[in-house]
Amino acid sequence: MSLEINRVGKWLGGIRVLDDVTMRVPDHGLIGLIGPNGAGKSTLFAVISGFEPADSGDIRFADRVLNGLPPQPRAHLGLIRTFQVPRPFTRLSVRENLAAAAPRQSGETLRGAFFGGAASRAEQAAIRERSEQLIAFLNLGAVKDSPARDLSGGQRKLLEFGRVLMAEPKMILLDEPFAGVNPVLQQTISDCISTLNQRGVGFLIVEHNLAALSRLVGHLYAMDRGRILAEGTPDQVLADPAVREAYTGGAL
Amino acid sequence: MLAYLVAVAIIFGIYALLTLSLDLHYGFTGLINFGHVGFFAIGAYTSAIATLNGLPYIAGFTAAAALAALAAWPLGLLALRLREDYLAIVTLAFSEIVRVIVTAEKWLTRGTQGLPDIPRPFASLGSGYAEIAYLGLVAIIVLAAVLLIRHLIKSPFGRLIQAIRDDEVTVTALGKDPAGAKIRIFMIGAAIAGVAGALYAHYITYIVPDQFTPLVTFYVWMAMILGGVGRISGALLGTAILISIFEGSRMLRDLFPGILQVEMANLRLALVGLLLVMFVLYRPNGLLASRSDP
Repeated sequence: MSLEINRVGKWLGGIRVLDDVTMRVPDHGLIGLIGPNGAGKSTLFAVISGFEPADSGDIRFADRVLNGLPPQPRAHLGLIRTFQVPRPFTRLSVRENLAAAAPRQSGETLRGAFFGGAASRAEQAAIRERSEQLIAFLNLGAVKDSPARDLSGGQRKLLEFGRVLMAEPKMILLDEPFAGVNPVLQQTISDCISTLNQRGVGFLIVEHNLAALSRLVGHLYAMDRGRILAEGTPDQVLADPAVREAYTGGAL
Repeated sequence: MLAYLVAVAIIFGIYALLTLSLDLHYGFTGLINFGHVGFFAIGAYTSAIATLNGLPYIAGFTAAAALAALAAWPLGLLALRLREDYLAIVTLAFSEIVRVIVTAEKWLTRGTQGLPDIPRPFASLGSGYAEIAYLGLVAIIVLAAVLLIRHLIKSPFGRLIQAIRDDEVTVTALGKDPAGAKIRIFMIGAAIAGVAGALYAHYITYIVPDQFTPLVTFYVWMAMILGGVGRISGALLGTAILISIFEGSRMLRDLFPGILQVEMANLRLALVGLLLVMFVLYRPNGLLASRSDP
């Protein structure tokens, strides 16, 4: 279940936002991706998850070429993204947000909604139980029946994370999990990521908090202006002159 | 007095069906449908023409629901994959096209002359009882629609459509198909509006294209907003408020004999507009907004 990104290019409005990007997230990998604003990280996520087509190169996941596939079949393969700004289902409760993310629900078809019967009820009971486990895991018990729009920024991050877990991912594309999150909650999220990774879920994490990210991942890619500048251990990458220059704009 | 109350209750029921189905579209799924009257018109004309040609009522009502849903299908295919505001434009145009077609196709609809003598169920019961029996039919259909929508929105499918309303992109990212669910909801709501149209035609017994202007859609939107979007009880309450304003302003005219009917109709519209402005200012989520609503 490794993710292979091979010489992917992408043009947006005359600008080359991705330029021959090659990257590999191994099975069960825990990989970080850093880069200054506008480096192309979010575009890369959009291309991997199928929200934007790639103009060149190819993307493989679980030995399947993903090019041309819409987002849904990619998610069905277990490759699921989060968004930089959490996007909760605002008027649904935390519990419903999680339940709505569970894949392959027979009750989500019209036929299932009316004639699903005992099978659908059992399925929903299992989903409820899994939601409860996740609510406990993410420490959202106090707000589980509140509509998601009432959550704080950090709680929204946790909910976004929980929803992805509900979708039974094999690899998660995590966009800035620590942005706008206090240090305690950052630790909680870090711990969750490590635990899941040990259980076999792969991660590709975009993050601006270099210190927190370096503690979490063993391997890092650095991007700027659509190109991969460096890869290696966090120490190697952060010491790389090109990376330092990208971050300081050549001022040092 | 009883006859009057029965008449008002029947109109309430018909409008309640329209508001409930619009709420299913907009309140629960986020579909901006500005052409609800189009489905209403299709239902009215379909059942009227069917029964005028000797078909039984049940066939007329079934055809009304089916044709309205069928009309919603290509609209959905066309527009639901695009941005949501396209649906607003497309549905508005659709309802006007329906009105133009029933005006122009005189061989079928008699155009602006309208279709008179549409049969009414229970007519053999005699004046008074026939209306009460008809009210019973309307009540049963409204109840059925309420139960149907309630069951739908409480099902996992209902959770999915509400998730689509709140954030369609995320639903896609989670591997689900918003377009498919939206088209189904669009057709179901259209079918309910079609049944409302059939009830209307068989009650009024005379239909002309002018009864199906965008103003009807506007009234239904208003009822939904007044009562509270995305709540079944809100749709019913909003409809009740709307009908009260209409009937109340009619009585007001009796108190002020100097006012002409045309003036009163305009005054009524102004009153409705004022109420709408006040609601948007003071109760933006409707009368039945839940406490957690902002």
